[in-house]
Amino acid sequence: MLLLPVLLAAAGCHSPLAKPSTAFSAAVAPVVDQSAAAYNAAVALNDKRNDYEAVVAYENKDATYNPRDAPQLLSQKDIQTRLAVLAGLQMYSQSLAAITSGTDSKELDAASKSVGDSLTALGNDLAPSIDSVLGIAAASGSTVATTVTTVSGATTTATTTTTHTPPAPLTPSIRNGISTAVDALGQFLVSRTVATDLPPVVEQMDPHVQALCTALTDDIDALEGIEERDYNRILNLEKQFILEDQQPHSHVDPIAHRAEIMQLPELARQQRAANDQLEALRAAIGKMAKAHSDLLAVAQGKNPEKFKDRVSDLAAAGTSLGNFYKSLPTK
Amino acid sequence: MTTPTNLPANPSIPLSPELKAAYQNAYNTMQAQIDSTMDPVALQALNAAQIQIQSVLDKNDLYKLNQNTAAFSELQKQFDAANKSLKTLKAQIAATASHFSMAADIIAAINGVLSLIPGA
Repeated sequence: MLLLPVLLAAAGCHSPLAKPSTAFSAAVAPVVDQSAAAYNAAVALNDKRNDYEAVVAYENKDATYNPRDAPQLLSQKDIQTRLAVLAGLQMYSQSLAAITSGTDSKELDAASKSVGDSLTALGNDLAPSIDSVLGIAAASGSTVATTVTTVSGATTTATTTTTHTPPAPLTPSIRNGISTAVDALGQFLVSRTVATDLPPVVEQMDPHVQALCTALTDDIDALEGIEERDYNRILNLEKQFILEDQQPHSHVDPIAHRAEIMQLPELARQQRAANDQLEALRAAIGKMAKAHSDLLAVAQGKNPEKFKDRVSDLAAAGTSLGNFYKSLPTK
Repeated sequence: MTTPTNLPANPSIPLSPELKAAYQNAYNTMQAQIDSTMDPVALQALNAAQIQIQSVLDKNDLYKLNQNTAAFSELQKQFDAANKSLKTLKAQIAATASHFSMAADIIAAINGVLSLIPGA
């Protein structure tokens, strides 16, 4: 079993980028979900405010008012442009997470097991080669020479027969050792590909991820201002309508009047909740930006925890291969 | 209707930070007055005046949103390119597993040939 530890040590199997990639992917998810909700909520609120403006225009008998000219906060195209970038961001983060954890793949495990099985089928004929190439001790065959001596008078006759016992077929233990060694080799090759090809992609994308975070934060700043003023405008107009309804010449149903007043606290609660959601989104964007910076630091080898990570990665690789070994059939 | 205070009714957008702060200050002052009155006549006048200020602040924020739409369009290209690179990388990794599968197939084929040779 000489080759297996060598491969294990060389591979380090789990990429050091796996943890920060997974962290980045986890940080992206709330940004994508909450951003889409924030855009749609802001547009819905702005539409509601425009409904109030229609009432004001008609009460003032404003002939210039045309509901078709009501301004639109964000067009469907504007929202789709943003959602498309967020979908691209999500695909990017999920791909990073999948690639960096992909050294421990089911496909590779299945292929490794298949190689082990095929070698076992070849059995005795390949055993010496396996012994020399993989460093795995295969059961050797034996040759037994039996000599029978017959004495007949003065004549002694010796008859020697040679019995060759073929080497035992590869045992399940050896077969599993082969499969595990092949799996380790595969993981090493995948790790090498990830370590070589992924850091340049992360480096190249970091300024764009940071630019996206800036653009999203600018959006939030704008939406926050517009939403606050939209809620204020709705509350202010509601207050005006209610006070006008209380005038002596007004004949408003008292129940309807009370119901209208009772809308005000609910609107204020919605305003606070909307503001809290935007603040949560702002914090999520901050975390996402930092998560990608952390990923970049590891990709560039600037992470002081790298050595510690590599040690834990090595332990994880050993566990992974151990689990793979245990999953193999023993009969 | 003119904008209250000394602020211009139709300033050029985007607002400078100083001008934006001045409009925001005027808006907040009016909102405080609106919140503290129960006089319908005063409230109607304050609402009519505040919407002029609000309109300017809204235009400024809409300008930022429109500018950002262009920025998002540019970023889309970058993410598309990165995702293409990652797709290629995924394919390379998948190829590693498939090469091992191929090795298993080759070994199985050799085994098939050996079984046809007597004594092999």
